[in-house]
Amino acid sequence: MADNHHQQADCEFDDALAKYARVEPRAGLEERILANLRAEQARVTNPAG
Amino acid sequence: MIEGTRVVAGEAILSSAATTDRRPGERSHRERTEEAIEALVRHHSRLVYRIAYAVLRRHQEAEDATQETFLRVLRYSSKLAAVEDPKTWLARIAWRVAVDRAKRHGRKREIALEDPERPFEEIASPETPADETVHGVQTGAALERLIAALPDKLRQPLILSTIEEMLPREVAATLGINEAAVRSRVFRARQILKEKLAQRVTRK
Repeated sequence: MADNHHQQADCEFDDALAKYARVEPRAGLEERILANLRAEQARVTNPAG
Repeated sequence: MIEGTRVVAGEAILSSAATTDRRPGERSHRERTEEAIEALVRHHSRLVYRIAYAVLRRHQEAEDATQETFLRVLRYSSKLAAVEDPKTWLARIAWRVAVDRAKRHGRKREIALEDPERPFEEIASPETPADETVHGVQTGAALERLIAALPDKLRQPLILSTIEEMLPREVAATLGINEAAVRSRVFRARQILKEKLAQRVTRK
């Protein structure tokens, strides 16, 4: 009985810890990064704009 | 003939504009670098985001830190060819960017500065299914506070270890400590968190 309770507490703890880190970025993050990198490259290549 | 010359000249101008006066070999090196950076973005942007979020705990700041991380990668791109493990290299940059930002904004231990004895609020949102609510949500909120209150030495390996993409070896390389230290610190951090959570449950 105590073992069961302990196991359940462990599971809940592991679940909560996994949820702590399981975040998803807003959709389209990759594209926003790539667009930003292209803009930065263009700025460096042609600083006058 | 004249027409042909014009076409060749036109191609030369276009080519020059595209390569910004670089020779063909140099251009292909640049292209390779761009492809390598794009591959890093495609494969690891979520990991970078999660590392940033683990430190900053705010979505907008995590996104800004992710952008800054890849701008640094672009700046250091001349080193990219010599990097043996791009994922760990990137994780280290992401970690450094996020930690620097946290220090700059003075928000590092914001949660820990709250009254540690304050009872948890019921933070269930209207979207949360009723059957999963209070207990799980409260545990999550409590855990968030307790992790923030851990000493850096334990908190840092723990929060990186909770990211599913990170292996202990990679956590170790990111923090500049050995793998055994990561394992023992994570073990210790988990013990502390379990004890504190159990105490809170008992006190209720």
